Amino acid sequence: MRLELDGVEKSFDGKTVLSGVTLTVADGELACLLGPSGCGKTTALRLLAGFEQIDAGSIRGGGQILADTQTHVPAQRRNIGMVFQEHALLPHLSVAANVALGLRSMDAKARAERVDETLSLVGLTAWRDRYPAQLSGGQSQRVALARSLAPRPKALLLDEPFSNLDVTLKEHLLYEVRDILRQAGMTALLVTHDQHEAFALADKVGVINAGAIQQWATPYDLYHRPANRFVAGFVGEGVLLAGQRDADGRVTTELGLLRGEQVGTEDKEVDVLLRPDDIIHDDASPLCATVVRKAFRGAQILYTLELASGARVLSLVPSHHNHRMHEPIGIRLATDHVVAFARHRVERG
Amino acid sequence: MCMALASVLLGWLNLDAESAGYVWGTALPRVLPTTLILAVVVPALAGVLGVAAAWLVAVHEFPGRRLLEALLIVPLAIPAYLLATVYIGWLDYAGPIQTLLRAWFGQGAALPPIRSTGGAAITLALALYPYVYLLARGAFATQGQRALEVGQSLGMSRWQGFWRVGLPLARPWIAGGLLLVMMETLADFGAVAAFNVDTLTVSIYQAWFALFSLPTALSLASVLVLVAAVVAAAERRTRRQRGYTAAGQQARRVHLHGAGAWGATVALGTLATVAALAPITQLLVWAAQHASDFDTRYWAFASHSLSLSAMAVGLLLAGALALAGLQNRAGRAGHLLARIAQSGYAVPGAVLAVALFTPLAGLSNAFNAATPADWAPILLHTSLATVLLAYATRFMTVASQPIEAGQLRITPALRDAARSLGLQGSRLWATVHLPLLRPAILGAALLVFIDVMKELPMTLMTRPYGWDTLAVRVFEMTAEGEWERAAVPGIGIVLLGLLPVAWLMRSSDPSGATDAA
Amino acid sequence: MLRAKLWVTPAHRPLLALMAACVAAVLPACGQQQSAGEPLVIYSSRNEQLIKPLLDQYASETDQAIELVTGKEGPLLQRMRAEGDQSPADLLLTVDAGNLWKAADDGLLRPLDDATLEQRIPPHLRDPQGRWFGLSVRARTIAYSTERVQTDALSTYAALGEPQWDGRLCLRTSKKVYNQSLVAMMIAAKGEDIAQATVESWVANLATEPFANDTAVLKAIAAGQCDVGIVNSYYFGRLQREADELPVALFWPNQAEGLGEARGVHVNVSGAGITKAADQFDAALALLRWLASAEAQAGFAGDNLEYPANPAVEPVPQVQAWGDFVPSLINVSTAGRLQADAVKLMERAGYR
Repeated sequence: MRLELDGVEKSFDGKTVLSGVTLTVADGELACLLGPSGCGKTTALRLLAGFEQIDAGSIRGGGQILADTQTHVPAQRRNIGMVFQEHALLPHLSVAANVALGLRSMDAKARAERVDETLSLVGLTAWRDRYPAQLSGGQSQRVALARSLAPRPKALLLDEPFSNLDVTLKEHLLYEVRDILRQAGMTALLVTHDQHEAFALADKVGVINAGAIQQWATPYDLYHRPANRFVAGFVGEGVLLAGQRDADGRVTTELGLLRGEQVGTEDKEVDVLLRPDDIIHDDASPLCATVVRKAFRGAQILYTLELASGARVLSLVPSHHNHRMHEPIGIRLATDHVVAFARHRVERG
Repeated sequence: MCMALASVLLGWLNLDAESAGYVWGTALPRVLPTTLILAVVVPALAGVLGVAAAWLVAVHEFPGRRLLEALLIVPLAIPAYLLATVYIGWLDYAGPIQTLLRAWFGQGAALPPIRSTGGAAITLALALYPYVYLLARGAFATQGQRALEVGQSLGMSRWQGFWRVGLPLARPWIAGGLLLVMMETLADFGAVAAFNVDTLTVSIYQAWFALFSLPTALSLASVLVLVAAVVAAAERRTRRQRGYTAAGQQARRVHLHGAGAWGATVALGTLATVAALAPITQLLVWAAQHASDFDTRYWAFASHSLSLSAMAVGLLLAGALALAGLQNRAGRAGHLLARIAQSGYAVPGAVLAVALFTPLAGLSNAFNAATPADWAPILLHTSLATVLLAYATRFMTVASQPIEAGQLRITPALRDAARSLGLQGSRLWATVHLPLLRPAILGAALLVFIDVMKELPMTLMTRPYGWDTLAVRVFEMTAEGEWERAAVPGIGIVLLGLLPVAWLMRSSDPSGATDAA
Repeated sequence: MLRAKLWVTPAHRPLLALMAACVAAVLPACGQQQSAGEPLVIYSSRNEQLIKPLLDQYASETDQAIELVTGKEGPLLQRMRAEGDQSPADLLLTVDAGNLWKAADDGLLRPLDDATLEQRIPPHLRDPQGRWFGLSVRARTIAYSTERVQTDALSTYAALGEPQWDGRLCLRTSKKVYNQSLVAMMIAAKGEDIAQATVESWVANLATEPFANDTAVLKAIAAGQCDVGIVNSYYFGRLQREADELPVALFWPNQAEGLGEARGVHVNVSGAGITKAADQFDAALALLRWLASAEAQAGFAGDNLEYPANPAVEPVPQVQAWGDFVPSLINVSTAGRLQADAVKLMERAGYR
């Protein structure tokens, strides 16, 4: 089911939480709202679910008005499922009973079948008679997911569902959840502060900050074509480096001429975004920079390098190139996109 | 309830200047300080006893813990006036303890006088601490491991953990218990009368029975309602913004060892002995001395007590749950309605009964006058429904306090999750609220059951013909001062009161909870 | 499919079944209350076990169905007031002249002009307008320690305020109606000022805070906490039955002839009157006459070790053994009339 927010506003006790939020999740799309804590993303989700009422704007589901200034379809009639950060399993009900919660209209046989079907979808058939207290974090997350999917909602909302899980479990579960949602053909909107979750799961990601959508795009575009400094800084790593645009419209920096697709402002004086993968270690390059910090990441090392001007850039290098601190190493540019922002002040990503 | 309150307030309109002037001018200034002292000291003592005992049994393990956990509830089933009679019997000058002291240490040996404000305060605290104990125990048992672990991770000792985490998280429960203790203290007549300590309630009865001025009595009762309402509102205000949901699974018990373990056993054992075992033994001895009073009618008395209590439990639980639901959705008006419905507990039973009874009698009269003479007259004011209505006005807060507190443990996410699955209205209640409130509901049921079992003045006044209960029997005995003979029905009340205590202990047994959960 | 934890586990079922059985057993009783052939309805605040055997006896002898509704005096009167003309009560039976006076004063009782009753109950023990009749007499007198008190030291109630009793007197609480009517009678005999001075002198002589009941006063005298006290004689009788060698005895005060109005032991009554709302007047009158008759009087008073109101009937032997006394002859309704004044006087005098 297509989900649309149009100019949605919401404030609590006079404090604006969302201002003019507009976004669309296409039918069958997996989307994500990404933002720092307190940015309003959970509120957006709760408005969609129907737990809160909007102040202005409108919310549609499959073209039908779910909420505007006159209408408020209550949560229980929106047919939109929700998975909570706390998982919110009812402690007094077994796994199967929790999953069956939303299946009241079915007869007993159909209900049992649907419970088994959903439990096997999340791989927990063997746990059907356990109680929530007996489950691990990952298991209860999957039960929560199964419970939301069981009534075949038209859309699913996930509120930081992986934030209570450990990293390896999270990785594993992320792809599992994505596959489950894809298999179910589900329209889903996830809320998270973790871009890895967002990138792993979502077709489209909306970066949200200070109650407004900063950019609504594919993960690739968010990373490579950020719409503003906030997005550039929040998504991925990188630095901004001063540059000038020449008569041909190309940008030159301390590191030389930048090649690739031009993104962003056409001002003369700009800051350009340089991602760690835009700068490649090359012993043969005449351009040198000094290692001032290194972070070992297994297959790669993330070097922070100081240029002659004192400006710093990041470079992601295969980890067999293990340089010492303060060692000068050769680098060269390998940009595909040149992301430029108007230079109004120095800002570090 | 509104009708009863209106009746109480109507007292102001019918005041006769002479009696009212005397009571408000002369008697009140004398009894008010005593009343306030009791209203503060009794909850304070009961709070310390109840919270300490609850903390020990709910999060620790020590020898005899299971038995003590149950025994500590038992004083709830002993009417305060019987406990007062027992203590005065033991500790007064003519009692066995002081007689023994004089025999050993000479004529000068004496205890501080038991028949004093202090004696009354201690006795009431021992009789009433189970309200706090019961509620606090539930809170400590459900606050969740996580909260205490957070405390530990911040470097708190167990003792600090209690003060900084356990106590604050249990606050609505403890406050609810203290409120019940305070209101019960304000409304108590039997116990303070046994100590000849004059409180506002004594003045109310004095105005009514000795000065024959019911309006004056009602005007005094409205003061009690006011005090109770103000305290309850103040308590609510201070905790409005906070959350009390549980985090993590049920906490594991801390095993006490050595001196700590035996210290806990001895301390709680002493409390259980002083407040429950010894008084019950004394009642049993007295009852045995008057065993000839016991006849087959007692089966009917017991059966009436039991069925009235059971019916009241059903009615009041339904009412309290409805109020809780109302407060969830109806905002300010719902809260106000709930407060009104709960204010009856601070009013002495007889006053509440007459406040309820008078308009109902008027209604019956009007109805009977308007219907043909050959119709059987109705007696609205003495019917089973009226008895139950009277209980509902008086004990609503007893049922509500645990349930309101229990609701605070339900995380909003659980409610939202159920709503997102399409659950609403009664289904939402049946699936989410009721099961999660189960411990709170059982606790409320226990309190109501025992309170109704002990209740006298309203039962006496509004019961239909033939509905004599054990408590009515106690009245028949004590009316002519035969306190020791009252032990026969008294012990019956205690024994019947113990039934649900045993029940509650079984059903809230943590081992029983984990094997199913 | 929903495998919720069972609300009520099997272990609870027997208890639930028991409760259900109890409810089921008593419910049918609700519907029957009005049936059995117009019984005579008695509202009584007199101890049920004292009055019930007599009423049962009457019922079986006369075939008169009787419904006994017991309750505390104040609420019972309020109930009658609220019920008005439609009160089911035919007869009000209560202890203490104050309550009887109040019931009459509120117009709840019907005046009788009945020669039989007037002949059986002496004038000072009944309402001058015949609205109620005392049925048993309760004497409030002095109890003293036989070990520490010589009877020649005792004379009147007021004399207990003399300095010789300093720290030796025990009293029951002033909230008890017995003390209120005692003081009311003192007001009637001597006026408020003298009565207040007397009460103040008592308070000054108290050995300990006032007790909640007469039995405690008697036990305190026996234990040596004090030497004299004021009690109703039947409490002494009850204690006597329990312990043979009680070092306490009764003294009849105010017997000297020169005392005028104040002469005589203070007496109160338990009594009865026919209600205004009575629809069984004849049956009620018949019962009232019977209660005043020699046949019933012995039991009515004797079962509680009280004195029969009908002078033709002797008290039981245990009571006779305490000796004869001259009772106060002021009409007992005075106690009711002056009760409120007595309460205020005692408050002023610091008598708790």
